[in-house]
Amino acid sequence: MRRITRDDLRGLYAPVPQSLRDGVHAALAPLPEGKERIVKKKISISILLAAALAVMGVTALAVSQLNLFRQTAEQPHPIVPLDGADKLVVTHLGQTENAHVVLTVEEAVYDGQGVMALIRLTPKDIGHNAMYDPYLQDAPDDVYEKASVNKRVYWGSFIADPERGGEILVVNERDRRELWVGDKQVAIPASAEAARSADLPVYMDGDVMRSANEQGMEVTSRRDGRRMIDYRLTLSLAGAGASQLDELLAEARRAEGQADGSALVWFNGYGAKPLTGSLEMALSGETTLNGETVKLDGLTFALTPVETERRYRLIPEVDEVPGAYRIKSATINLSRVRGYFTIEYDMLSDDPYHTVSFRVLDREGRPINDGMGWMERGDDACAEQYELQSFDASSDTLTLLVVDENGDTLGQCVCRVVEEE
Amino acid sequence: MDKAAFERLYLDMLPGLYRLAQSVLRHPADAQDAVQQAAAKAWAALDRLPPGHERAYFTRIVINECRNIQRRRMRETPVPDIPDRGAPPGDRELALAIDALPEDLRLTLLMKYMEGYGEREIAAALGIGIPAVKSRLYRARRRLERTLKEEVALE
Repeated sequence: MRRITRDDLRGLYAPVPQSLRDGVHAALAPLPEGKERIVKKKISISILLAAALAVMGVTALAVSQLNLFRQTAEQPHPIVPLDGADKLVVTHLGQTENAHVVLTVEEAVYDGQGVMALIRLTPKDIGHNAMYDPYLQDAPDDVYEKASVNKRVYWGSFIADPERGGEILVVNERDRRELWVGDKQVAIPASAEAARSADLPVYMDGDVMRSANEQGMEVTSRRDGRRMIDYRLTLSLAGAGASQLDELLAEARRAEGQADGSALVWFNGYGAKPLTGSLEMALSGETTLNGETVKLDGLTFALTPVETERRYRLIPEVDEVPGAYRIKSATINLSRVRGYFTIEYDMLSDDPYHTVSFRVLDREGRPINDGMGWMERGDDACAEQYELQSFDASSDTLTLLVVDENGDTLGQCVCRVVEEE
Repeated sequence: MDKAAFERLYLDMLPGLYRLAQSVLRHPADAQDAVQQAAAKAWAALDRLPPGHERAYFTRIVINECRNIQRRRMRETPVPDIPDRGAPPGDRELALAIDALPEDLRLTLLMKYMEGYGEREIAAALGIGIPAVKSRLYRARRRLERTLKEEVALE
């Protein structure tokens, strides 16, 4: 019999680096201390919407230049908002700044289940600085100088070469760089060549630890000579909206550098089910220029749902495939912005690792585009949810395509569509 | 609770939360993102913090953050080739066996035997019932034994 102790298990994972403790502190530091500060900067979207409608000419111009929906419309399977969705978007929700940048919440929409927000970061000294945009995407070749260099080593502690039986431990923490071979600490080589000749996996390149063997492309500078400002933003729920914490997760899904040196950052999230009431969003972050990191003052803004949803139940003609699955419930909620498909089902297979996934087909049997989502296989029930292209035309039936974990089609399930009150 | 007290509390629990996040995401950088984001969200929702159940509450938020990161990997972009940076300093065979467990079983087992959570605490953190916790622990152990090809005593 093999004894496995708590220490055995804990030994499988890297310890907390000091940089993570610092990171937690940094994540908390810009957030308001208490409710008073949250309220102080609160901006009501409904008020802003009224103000925008009062100056219709300005609003119409702004709407024609919306960037918000590009994040879903330009993804591999586009989710394009329906006509009229732009009227739900509220603009200019607030602004904050630090020594490096001005942050503006330019656009946001809350359709009763999901939130999208668009943030612009603009360098204060835009003649000399520009935002570093490859935060969530590839760096465009026409903007950045890049070079093939040895890959940076991530922060943390890890076994560098598992094939060598856990022999080499690398510690790459902000205040602690170590290299262990077995029980012996060795000096970290100062060049890739030295590392390779010593059969060691990493070396120090100035203050940066790099892999001795793995190459990657790295941005070295901008072609226009401006210095790059790195940044980190967090959008979370605060105040009254925090009661929806488990139901909505908003995260940065895309960032894009602009020709003027500013950067657009898109946040997107949605709840497992329609949400109630307004949401209070808290934005925090920091920027780094020339190694100096400066926090941004926290900014909060409130989002009020602006559209009544259409909600449909899908009633399967046959809800069970023996030995495979049984559908318990399926719904589609639609707004002008997008749809949300949710299905709960039981797995009937004896194989605990067998899973299925469902795709919604339109009347012609074509898959309706979908995007971000999740699936869960629990002991008692399984569920899947994802965002979906919205649609206007009502249909009496829709079809669910059922695929297994390998992507192989298991069958189709025709469902009657029933609109809910 | 003021923010300084909250931060102390969270940092006290950080090693365990970070280990659990690594067990889900397998990548220290992602796991670090998850526990940092979770700290901000937990603070933002402080009024929901159930006194005496802080660890389960924080754990639930960290797991939600991990799932958030997984969602992005799964659906927004092609699944990246995640480097095995979470590979352990400890027993490699055990690490591979734990890693081979389905996530729900792995998390339950690690909460119980690595972090010492009670069954009620695991149930609260995972949003499942105590019978489900017991079932998962049983299945996790059986699965581990099959992989390791011997009986195990988890202590």
